[in-house]
Amino acid sequence: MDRLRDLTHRIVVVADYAIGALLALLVVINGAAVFQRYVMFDSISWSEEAIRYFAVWLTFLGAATASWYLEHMDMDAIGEFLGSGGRRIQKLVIEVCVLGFALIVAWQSVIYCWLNGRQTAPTSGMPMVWVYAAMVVGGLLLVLVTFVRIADLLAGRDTGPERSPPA
Amino acid sequence: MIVLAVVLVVLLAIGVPIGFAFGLSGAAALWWTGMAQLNVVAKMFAGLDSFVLLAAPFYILAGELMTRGGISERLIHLSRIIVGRLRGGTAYAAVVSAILFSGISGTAIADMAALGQIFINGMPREGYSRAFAAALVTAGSVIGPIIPPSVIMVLYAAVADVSVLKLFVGGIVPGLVLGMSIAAVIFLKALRGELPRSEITVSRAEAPGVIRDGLLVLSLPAFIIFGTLSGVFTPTEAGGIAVLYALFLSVVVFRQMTARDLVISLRNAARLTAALFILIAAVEVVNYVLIMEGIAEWTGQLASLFKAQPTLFLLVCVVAFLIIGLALDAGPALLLLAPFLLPISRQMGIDDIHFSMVMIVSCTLGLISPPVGVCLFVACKIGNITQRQLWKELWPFFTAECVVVLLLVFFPVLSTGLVSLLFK
Repeated sequence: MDRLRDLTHRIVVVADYAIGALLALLVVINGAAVFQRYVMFDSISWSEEAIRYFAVWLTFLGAATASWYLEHMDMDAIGEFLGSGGRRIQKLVIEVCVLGFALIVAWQSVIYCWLNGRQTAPTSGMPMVWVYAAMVVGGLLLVLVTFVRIADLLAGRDTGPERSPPA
Repeated sequence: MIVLAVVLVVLLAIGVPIGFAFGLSGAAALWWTGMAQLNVVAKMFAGLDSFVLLAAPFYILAGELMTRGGISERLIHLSRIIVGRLRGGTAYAAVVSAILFSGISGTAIADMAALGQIFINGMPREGYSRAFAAALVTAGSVIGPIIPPSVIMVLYAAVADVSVLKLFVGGIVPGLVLGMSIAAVIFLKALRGELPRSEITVSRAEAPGVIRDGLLVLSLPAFIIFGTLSGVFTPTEAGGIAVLYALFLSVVVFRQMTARDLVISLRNAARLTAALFILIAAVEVVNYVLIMEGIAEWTGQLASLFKAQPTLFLLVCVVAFLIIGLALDAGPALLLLAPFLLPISRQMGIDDIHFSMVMIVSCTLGLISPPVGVCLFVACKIGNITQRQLWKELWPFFTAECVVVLLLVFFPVLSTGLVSLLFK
């Protein structure tokens, strides 16, 4: 289990750097589009499309990394009324729910890719399977992250130092 | 619709992350009504496929860079020059800082994080109570999402199909009025001698440099507003340019940003973006189920109920938003409600910007209302105080901000005046 946790952590860190790089790429493409329009008097036709599709990758990969670092918004109305045992059960139930959602996203997006993957992007002509694949990859990463969290909770191991986000 | 509501409430109450709770309750309702589960991913993708939405990560990143690049200290120094000498001067400086900072950040959390450390930990040294300092910064954080640029307005514009630029302009006056309402509470407390006179930390020799740095920072919101108003670039493009400008100030002018800071800013901003966007994507699934289950008919009936009384409708909405705000954060509440309430307000002839401002300000108050206001948690954490101690000092500010919401309801010109002036 320790090896799977370490492997998951490494994958999450790589994905976290990847989404940071994607965000930087969005800024660069956006800046290049404005520069081309006003300085070179020639617009980049694919810039808007590229930004939108990179943002889809950023969202689905980032949803999984934010889940690992426990950074998603929640409202937790019952946690403070529970003892430590109840709290552990609550965390387990939450993770099982997230796992259910992750499995739905991963499985349904495989079907979605299969059915619609041959569509092409309107401007760049790129096969849409490269965009829809973000949901498959992000969904699978979320399945992995949640599975490890459930296994940790069952083993009595809660949030460890590797779950601290970079500061 | 009942299955959707029950599953959603149960998941939220258990503590399932809000985005996942939306997605899972949408999936449950699709299964219950016999619709294909494929709609989950199809609608999530459709929800994200919007260019307007992409302004949000840029403003989040710009705020993150500005915070790490030494911008907040400069704005606080500038505020102290403006109002520091009055009784309760540092308290006024906190409000002015919140207003100035909201011009460069897009979220209440960014304001809390940037200003909280400095004021909540610094004001007690001048004789203010720690709870008062925390309450003040918490109340001020509400201004962040109202004065442009605003991440919440970008998200709202994307789901409600309203011009983000008009929302930005419409937020300026309500944001300033919110600041004035907080200042009014400080004034009353200072009048009763409850607040100390401040120790001014900016010398005369330092002042020109502080003013120059402050103006350099504050040129950013002006640049965004005028650049987009003149049609030079879209709000999304302006966001991207704001990032480059923030980077230029932090690295070249103020020389306070390292490569490591930049990488961490990118990673943090990307994760926050993902957490918000997954919420937008999942809300689209919920909205799809509601539409298929005939929400339009229900909203039509609601509109006919309030037909002759738009003000009453607005007041009912405000009360509903404040109650919802007790349990749900501003972002999810707005995303969930906007697509259905905006058409009703249109049927009643209420101006889009007027309704949107009332809605956004009321929902944003949810960020500071107990028991789950996210800014309350941050303030308690920074100030090392309990929520009860915080609320004891916060309630006069909260009440003053509720009065501002009422002013927005009864005086539409506060929201629409500047928009009408600039867009005619």
